[in-house]
Amino acid sequence: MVSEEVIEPDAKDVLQALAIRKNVILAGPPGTGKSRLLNQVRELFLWDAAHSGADPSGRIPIPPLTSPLPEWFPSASQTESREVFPTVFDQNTKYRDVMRGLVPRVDAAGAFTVTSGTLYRASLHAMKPGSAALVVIDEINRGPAVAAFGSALVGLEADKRLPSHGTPTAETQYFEILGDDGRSRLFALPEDLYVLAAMNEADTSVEPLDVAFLRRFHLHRLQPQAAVLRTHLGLSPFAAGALASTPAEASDWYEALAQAFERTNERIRLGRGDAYQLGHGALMHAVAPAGGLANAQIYVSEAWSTLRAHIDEVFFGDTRAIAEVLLAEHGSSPYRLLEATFAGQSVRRVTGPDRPTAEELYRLLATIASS
Amino acid sequence: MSGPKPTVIRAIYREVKPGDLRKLQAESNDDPSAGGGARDLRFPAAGFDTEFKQMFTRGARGARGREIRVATIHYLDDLGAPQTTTMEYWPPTVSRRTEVRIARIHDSPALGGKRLPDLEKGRVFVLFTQYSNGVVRVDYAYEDELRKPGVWADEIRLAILGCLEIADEKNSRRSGNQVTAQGHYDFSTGLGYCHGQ
Repeated sequence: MVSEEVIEPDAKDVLQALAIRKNVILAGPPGTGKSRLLNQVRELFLWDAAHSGADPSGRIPIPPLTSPLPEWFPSASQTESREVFPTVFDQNTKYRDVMRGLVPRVDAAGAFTVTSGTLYRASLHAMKPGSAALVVIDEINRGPAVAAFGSALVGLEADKRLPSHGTPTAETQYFEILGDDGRSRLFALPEDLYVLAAMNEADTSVEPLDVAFLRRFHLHRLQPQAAVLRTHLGLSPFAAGALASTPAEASDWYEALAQAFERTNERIRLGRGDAYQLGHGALMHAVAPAGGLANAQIYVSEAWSTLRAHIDEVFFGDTRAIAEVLLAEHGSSPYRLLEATFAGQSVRRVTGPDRPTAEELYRLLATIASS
Repeated sequence: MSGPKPTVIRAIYREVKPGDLRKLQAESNDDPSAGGGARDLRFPAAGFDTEFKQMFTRGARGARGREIRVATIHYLDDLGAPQTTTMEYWPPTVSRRTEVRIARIHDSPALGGKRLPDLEKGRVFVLFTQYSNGVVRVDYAYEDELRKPGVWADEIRLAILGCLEIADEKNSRRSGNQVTAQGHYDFSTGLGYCHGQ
């Protein structure tokens, strides 16, 4: 049964922001739970009241199985039909995919048809009495978001919407779109339409979002949470104990990984900024085996590969920074910073094992953790 | 020891028209062709006979020895306390092949007497509900409450209101006999039936 009490704090924050601002972007490093939160909000927005309860001796014999929508919810009074319209942006996303545009018809040579993009279809749904729509856009900055929203951008803000009763306010912003007949007509985004997007600000292959676009959204930032990783690894969420000199049980491996994860993110924050950290979810690739030293070592080795690849990517071209994160100048690290002269120029590279042995890996993690 | 919590299996609904109300009040009905003293709640046999037979499962003999069915019907009395009574279901007869009926509703403590519907809450529906534990219950469902989200489950309230909308639309084009909103809903399949749709 869906009820207000089961909503997690992050999901509640996003829903409240949607209710006020209409448009929200979830931003954060990879592995911080953006997709999970996106799914949570999507499910909660629907607030499935379709399931029927049974109360053979109550006043209402067939009550709803869900509790009523909380008053603070987006479009709390719109309960006839709540729908979600999901999409993913990529480099090829166009205005016609979001609103309307002309595309060739496959069944008639030389003829065109008018598309109905995701935001347009959601708008039509939200205009129906008792209805609300949520457009979910994953990877919003992986495509040309500003161009894809096009003229709809002017009507995106909460005070620019067309109210549910259909009478425009002084602030309602109309813009031109193509009608079904191919002629231009005026259109305004409805009050009960919401846009929830997710983006990774630090990804190297994304399109920039300009300030005018971003100011139309509430930004909900997510950060790596070591406590979540620690819980996943079967460790106490906050109390990081001292590391054993050599691993005697699975928890020693996990403690070393968790502490090294936190120290590495601290260094990334210093060197590149918050957005370039690695999220806890990236190291939660599988269930962490609770028993068996060997199984724990295999899990931690896999996690280290992910962590190492992330370090190489965020500091690409900055060998000295990579060496700093890997503590290459520390005697306990299996890595070294090699400086030499090549073609008359000073060059540097980090040397060491691609896949450290169990002993090397534990020593490295312990060194990073204690640094 | 209590069993598993029951779920709802099916529901049958019918709008209470002014003629039905007079039957419930043991006054004459509106339709002379229905017989002078007929105080039954009538449904079209097509679409309802099968459904009612799954609610009224016990065989019995009615007036003039006719084979009918009966069921123990649960209801809430005027103080809201759960009560039970026996109600009769009359399958189609030779003379009335197209009708089935819940007989002598004015006599039933579940629908007549102190249980007459409250006419201050919009239009009224008689609703038969069957649960997975075999309990069959009868209630009045009011339009005002059906239109208010969160009171009734969406499945049943949208089924009833949708059927009412269809009947209203048909009646807006008629000057004579008015269509009655009536139908049923199967909660296990999610399939609804609105008579005349």
